[in-house]
Amino acid sequence: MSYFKEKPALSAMATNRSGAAQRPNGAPQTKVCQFKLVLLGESAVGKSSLVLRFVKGQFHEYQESTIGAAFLTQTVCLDDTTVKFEIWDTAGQERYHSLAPMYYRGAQAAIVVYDITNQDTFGRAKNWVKELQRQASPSIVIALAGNKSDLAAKRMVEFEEAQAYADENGLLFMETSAKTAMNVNDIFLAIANKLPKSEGGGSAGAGGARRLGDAEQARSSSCCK
Amino acid sequence: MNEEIDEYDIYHQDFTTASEWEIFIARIEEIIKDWKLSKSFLSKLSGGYTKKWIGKSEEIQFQGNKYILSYHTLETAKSGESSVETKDKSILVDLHNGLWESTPKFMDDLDGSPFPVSSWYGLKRYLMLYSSLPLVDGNLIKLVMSSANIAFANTDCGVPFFVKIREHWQPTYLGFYEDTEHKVSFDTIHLKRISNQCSHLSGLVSLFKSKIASPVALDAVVVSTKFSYELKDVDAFAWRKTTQSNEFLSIEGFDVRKLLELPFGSEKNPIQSVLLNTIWPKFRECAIVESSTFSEYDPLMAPTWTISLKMRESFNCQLSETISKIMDLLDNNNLLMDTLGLSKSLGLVNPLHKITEAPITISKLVKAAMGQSKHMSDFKGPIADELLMPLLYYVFPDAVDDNTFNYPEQLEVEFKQADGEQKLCSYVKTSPEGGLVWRVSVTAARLFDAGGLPYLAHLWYEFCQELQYRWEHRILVPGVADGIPNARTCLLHQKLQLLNCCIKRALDGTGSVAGNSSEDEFFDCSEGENEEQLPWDRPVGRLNKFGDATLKNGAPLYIPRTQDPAPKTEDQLEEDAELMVRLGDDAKASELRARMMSASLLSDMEAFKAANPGAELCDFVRWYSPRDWKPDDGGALGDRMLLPGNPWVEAWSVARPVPAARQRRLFDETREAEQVLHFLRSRTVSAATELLLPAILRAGAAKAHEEGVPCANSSVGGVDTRRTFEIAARELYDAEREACRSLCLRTVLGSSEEGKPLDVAGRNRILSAAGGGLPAAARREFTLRVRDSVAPQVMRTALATDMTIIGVFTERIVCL
Repeated sequence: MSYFKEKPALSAMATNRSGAAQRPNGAPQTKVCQFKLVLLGESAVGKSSLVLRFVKGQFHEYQESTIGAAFLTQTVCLDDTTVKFEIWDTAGQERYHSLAPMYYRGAQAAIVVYDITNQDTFGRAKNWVKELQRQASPSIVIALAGNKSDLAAKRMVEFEEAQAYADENGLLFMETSAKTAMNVNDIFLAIANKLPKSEGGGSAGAGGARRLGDAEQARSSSCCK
Repeated sequence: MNEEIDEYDIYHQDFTTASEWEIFIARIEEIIKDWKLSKSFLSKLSGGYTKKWIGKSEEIQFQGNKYILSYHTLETAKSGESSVETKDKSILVDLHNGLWESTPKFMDDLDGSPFPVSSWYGLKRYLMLYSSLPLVDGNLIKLVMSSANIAFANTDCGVPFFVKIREHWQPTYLGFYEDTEHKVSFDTIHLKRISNQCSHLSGLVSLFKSKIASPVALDAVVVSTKFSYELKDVDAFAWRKTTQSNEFLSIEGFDVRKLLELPFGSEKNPIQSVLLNTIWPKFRECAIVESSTFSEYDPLMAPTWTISLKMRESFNCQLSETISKIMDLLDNNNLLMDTLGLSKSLGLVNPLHKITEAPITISKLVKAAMGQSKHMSDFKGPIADELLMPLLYYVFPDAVDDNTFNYPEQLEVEFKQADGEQKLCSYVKTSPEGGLVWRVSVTAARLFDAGGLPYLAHLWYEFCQELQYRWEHRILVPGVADGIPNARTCLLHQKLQLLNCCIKRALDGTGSVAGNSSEDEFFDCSEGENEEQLPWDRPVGRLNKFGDATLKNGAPLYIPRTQDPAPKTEDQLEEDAELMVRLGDDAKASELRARMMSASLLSDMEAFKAANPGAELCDFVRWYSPRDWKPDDGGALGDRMLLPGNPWVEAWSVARPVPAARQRRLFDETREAEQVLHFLRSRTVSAATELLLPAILRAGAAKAHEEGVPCANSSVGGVDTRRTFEIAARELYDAEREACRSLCLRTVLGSSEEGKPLDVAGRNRILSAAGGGLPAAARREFTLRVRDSVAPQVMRTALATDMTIIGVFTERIVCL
């Protein structure tokens, strides 16, 4: 197979996994945050294509149907933070529905994908959103992606309808095209921006932060006046 | 812009006519003009102010020393009335009013501005010239002061100008303000010792009068006084002891209930001292007489008493102490069972030492685990049976007929939080509140606190033994949420959920032998192969018809009975993910990846083939992945299923018609259960701690809320488990300290507030706690003020071990 010929198109905004984390001094320049993200949606709506576009900058007209689940990672740089996405790309077939909780319950973000040329996939997406709201972590960031926006001529789901639904449910929403790359990076970046990012991480800061006494003096003297 | 830069350059190049001193003055003028602080600009300002201080600053070089000129002002309130043009005199009037209004306050009532001068003199705005090297030399001080004076006059500045003098630590500021008729000077004296003349009221009054240029009427000076007492014997204040001792360890009167709760609060009184202020807000100079030999001040008679608390620099909070000790275990990479010397007999090998030892297989482990149950029975841990048994019955209450500690019927993982109120540590993965994971974790924390690592290890050992027993005897573990491992709960809970899945599966398996449908019975395929092969054309393992759908050959399409996919815990998923990443990107890797994930697909295909003899892949896809099926020509595969070498085609080609009942099990409960048990048993101290900490932290947070700690709204994300623990521990520590502090406040102050006047009951309580009398005053402060024909004149004195006198005096400029 030869579909890894194209160069990743993301290099301008996304660094390679090993790039940001290792500096000569050992200390990363920016803080690095890791998040688990899961893709959900009816089969053949383009979940794997979105991920492939985001991670490798590639697109295949026919992307083979995912079996079980696939796992990929990609790192994006925000202003002061490097966000590493650990992406579970799940299979869309109903048969694999019972496995989905395994992936989304531990996730901090989810992209629910539908195909704008198929109304049924939009209905399925709504069910996924409902399930996430009920079962996933309350703080999960959910994005709705109306994929295949390059096929607008065959559109069956109106942008406004989806936007209104997303607004009602507090979802990020974009119409995307894995084929033209439209809004693909944007939707991941929008998610990265919305996720809570804490200072620290890694074992470097571990020792210091655990000694509770450190900041104690400053604190106690200031609060006792 | 360009013009300005040019001017600036020329200015600085023109040093033949300007001395450094002149440049210094010019620079101050430039900044004051820049900031628009002339009287004409400022007099247009009117309206109210907020309580927030804002400021700006510029650097100035002079004689090789850096000076910072800064301007500080109260933020103006938005709703100021429209500005009214007034004469510049109003600035002085405003200054005097502010000064007079500030006199009931004392020098240590700070207003939040960067320098104390604003609270001393009731200023709303001021300029401060601060030298980076202390201005100690008298000549230099004079030079800087006159520079400031000239710049002030040249710019017609409308803001009091201060210069910080003497050492940085000394509260000494010289300041002035002038307009055409008046000069206001702000003076400070700071001495390390108290001079005799200034140690009492009458001395201070005569000093004050001597400073005022115009004559003062008799008994016109108004005085405020505050005496402050540090009450150090604070145990006298009824401090509620909340110590939880380890008395539960004594066999007699052992009460398991004492183990249910984490300790909370401070063991010792966290108050270092109570500061009592006795205040005489306002009296005429002759009303109270105090001289060097005689004093009429009686603090017990002072009209106002207020209290402020000083807490100890460090005091131990019991919950934080407990958690902190447990967190220290995260650095211990020895096997937990090493603590008891059991690792060898349990067949455990520290993964860190793995390189040097022979690899272990699961079967070896199983043998070891089976074998040890006999010769382990005489193992005697550090915890006495009399203590151990009630503890185990507490964690596994279904083992006794006593209902005292039964788990609730419904174990809900706490899902939605009401009204967006976030509990402390809500970002730490939880498990059902009060469930088994909570009980064992909190118990472990308390035992570790009481008896150290051996106690913790012993509890863990017994816990694992009990789980082993339950697996072998097919008894479900109580206090664990139903269903497959829930990745929203902590890993220990997931592991127990998985173990329960195994036990349930095993129970179902034995049940079927007793007479259920034989189709539910599963065989390993190695066993099946010796049996007679079923004929290809006889359908087996049908569940029901798939609507009216038919196969390509016209026969009805049947949905087969299938195997459920194997549930996994989050660490197993992580292993999968790691493996997939490690495989890399080449063609072979993607084939391996597909094979890794296709066990379930293959099983379903085989079941489908068995249920639908003569079926083709497109028939399977019609049921399994309808969006990849096209109705043309009696059924055809979608385009992506036609990709050469795609894993669906390959899986179909190797799938044999085998009903689910005869397939190799996707979920091998024996293997999975043994793996869970081995996982738990073989934890290092650090890893076991990681399993226990989530519930300990969440239980700690619950305890804190019980003690009245309010909800917090912290969101934590993107960090690893360890860091999350640290953030949570820190949050609990802060919460516990704050809780101790507010408890102290309540104990000492009752219904009164810190800094507010005490009621009679409060005064009596303080007085009796102080032993009926007060010690020598730690600090005395006097404010003297008078309004003469010119303006208010004010002098403040603070006497502690040192002496600070500040004064603001206004005189009329007399031109002869």
